[in-house]
Amino acid sequence: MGNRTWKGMTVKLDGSTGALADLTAYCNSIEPKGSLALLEDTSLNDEESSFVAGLGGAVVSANFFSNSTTDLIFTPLVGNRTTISKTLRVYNGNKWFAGEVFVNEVGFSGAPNTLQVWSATMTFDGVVANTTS
Amino acid sequence: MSYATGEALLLTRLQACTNFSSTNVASANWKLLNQGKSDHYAILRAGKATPVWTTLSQYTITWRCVVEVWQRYKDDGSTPASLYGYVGNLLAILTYPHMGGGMEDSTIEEIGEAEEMWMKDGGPAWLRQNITVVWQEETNVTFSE
Repeated sequence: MGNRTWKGMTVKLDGSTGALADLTAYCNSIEPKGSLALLEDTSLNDEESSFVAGLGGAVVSANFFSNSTTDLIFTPLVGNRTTISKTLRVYNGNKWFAGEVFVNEVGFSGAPNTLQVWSATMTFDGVVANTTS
Repeated sequence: MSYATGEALLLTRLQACTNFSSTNVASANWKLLNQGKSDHYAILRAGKATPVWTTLSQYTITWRCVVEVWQRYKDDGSTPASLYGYVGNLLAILTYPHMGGGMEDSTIEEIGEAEEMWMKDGGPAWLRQNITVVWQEETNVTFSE
């Protein structure tokens, strides 16, 4: 079986109206990353470190080109508090990674001779589901 | 925007530059050089194109058009100065990034070296300097496999 390329990846995020929008055509990088908190319970008798599993979580870093669709989604999030999470679904060609996220860091950038880019960090609130559809 | 559409817009914009018109600006028509209608010409030809995947389902092609600026050789003093002046006239297209027709973010990528174009029996007949103009075309795809 061949190794996966970017072709076949899909990114969907709630749009400005709350409906899930396909942002694949505007996304030029996306990186979901899981984490597990470790609670160290090493004692004086131990010769190696030992840990107890703490809370799990996941964060997604993504870049989207700025256009009329992405501007509607991310502009209201710059500098304004929101209690509303967004549904995020990322497909890697094999499985969907899906859940509710808070867009907790967002900004845009531009430079001469480049396209403007939205950079967003999205933190999953609760479970990240892995499904085939 | 496709190469053909972009080149057509660029042609129109170049013909509107100072010291240029439809008389001495053409696309891939080097016969103009022998017709004696002017002592300087701008002739367009396609350059290299580079497609690059810019998002998960979109590629961007950077189209290039090479504008050959020709100056008939008259003497060692005025000929180069004339060529450099006409190249400078054509830089006016930098103020029209959309070329008046929706072209996205066009610019000049390179102004090449001035070259002498020799006659068969020796001696320069023309001086030439190339201007490479670039613009981009974004295409979103749905993969078939």
